[in-house]
Amino acid sequence: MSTEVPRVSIRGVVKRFGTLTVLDGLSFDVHRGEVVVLIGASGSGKTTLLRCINFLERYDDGEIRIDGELIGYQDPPAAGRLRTEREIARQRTRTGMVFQSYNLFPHLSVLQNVIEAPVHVLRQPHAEAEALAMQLLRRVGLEDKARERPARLSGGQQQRVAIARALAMRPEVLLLDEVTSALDPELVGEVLQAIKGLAEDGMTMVIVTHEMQFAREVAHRIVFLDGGRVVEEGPAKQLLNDPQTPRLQAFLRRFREGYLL
Amino acid sequence: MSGLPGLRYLPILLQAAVVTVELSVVVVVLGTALGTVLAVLARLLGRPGGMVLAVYVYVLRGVPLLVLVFGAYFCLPLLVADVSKTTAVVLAMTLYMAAFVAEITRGAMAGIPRGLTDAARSLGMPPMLALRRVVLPLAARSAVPPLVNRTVMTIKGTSLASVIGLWELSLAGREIIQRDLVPFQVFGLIALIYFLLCVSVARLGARLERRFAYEH
Repeated sequence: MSTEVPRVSIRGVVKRFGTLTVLDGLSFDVHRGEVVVLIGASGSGKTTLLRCINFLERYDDGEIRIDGELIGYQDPPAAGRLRTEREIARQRTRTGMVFQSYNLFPHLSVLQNVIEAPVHVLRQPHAEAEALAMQLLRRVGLEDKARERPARLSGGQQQRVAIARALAMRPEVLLLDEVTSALDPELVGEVLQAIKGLAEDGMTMVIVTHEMQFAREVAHRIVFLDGGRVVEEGPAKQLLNDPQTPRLQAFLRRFREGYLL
Repeated sequence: MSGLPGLRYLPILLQAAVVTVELSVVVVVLGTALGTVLAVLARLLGRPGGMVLAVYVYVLRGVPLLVLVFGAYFCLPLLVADVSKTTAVVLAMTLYMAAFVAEITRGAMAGIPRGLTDAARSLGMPPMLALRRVVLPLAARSAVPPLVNRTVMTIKGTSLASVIGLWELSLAGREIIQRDLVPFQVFGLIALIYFLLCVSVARLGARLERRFAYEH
């Protein structure tokens, strides 16, 4: 595994908002079929990192590569010149993003939400896109909701549609940003179940979550961020059971006190 | 005629109303198109585009329509070439309407939650596609009520064409009044015709609004 090109390679990535440094030169790899969970306190840079991988945010320094291709900037990175909008858009199709607040298009039906990008971005024939969309909706248990507007669905259902919408682009990596944080507790399970299914099918994923039990079950590896740096990383169970750094120990202790771990 | 005074003027007034409607349709269509294009261009061009648009909006919105109509009719021949009365009115009113429509469209687009444009971008939509498929359809909904408002103002605004002698509803009415000295009947009829035109537009707008409606 160590000789292959990582699916996602993050090297020394820096992101500043004004004078605030959110990502402070962090590096790690995600390999094919691997599920990496990012944990860390609010403000540790987890969401910003996902947004940089998708290039919704420009990173200021370092490199993010997907299958070796530099994201957002022209190669070699020393040039520091942005790619064209069209190229960046093409790169974004390689990374599916699922947001905390679902962000389904409210003027389109569930099915239209899922086929929108395949039809208009990938130029798939309508029938083909629809067949795939129905397959994906079936997979997340929502084929009977295909004609509904998103507003008619519960939060958990909307989030599952958002997952189907991201998968419809056949991304190489799926980025999930606190996808259960906006949900009522009783709706969390159905979304996590859908994600577990994807992990079992070998989908490469980078997941930001506060659900530690879920992280333990689904992650191959956990990366703990603090202050925009990777403080500790390792296999999920090892890292959660036997944290090495004081900061991770403190973070996990706070979780144990507040939540079941 | 005793029962319904002024009714004999109705045919000529309706004929003039057709001109009013034609003027309105042309101005609303061109003004809405131009205003939307300006707002979209400004959005795509970022900050410099926004500043140019702001100047356009402030200048056009800050000048009375009457002055624009006079300006187009009397100044254009000095600067460029002779223009017909209709061209002058259509030009002035279109530029005027476009300023309001651009501002309405800009506001409607700015009101779309960031998450939705993020979602469109994350799915690989280039800016124009995201605009066409997500931003404009969503903006259209909140833009309909102010656009209807603006359309009503435009219909009534066409009466200003009469100041340069373009024959439409207001001028036709004034001619009749000056000839037959029947101000109340004729003004009453004119007001009724304008009112009916504006109500029809408002009703149409309400239907459009329902058609665009979606739940949040």
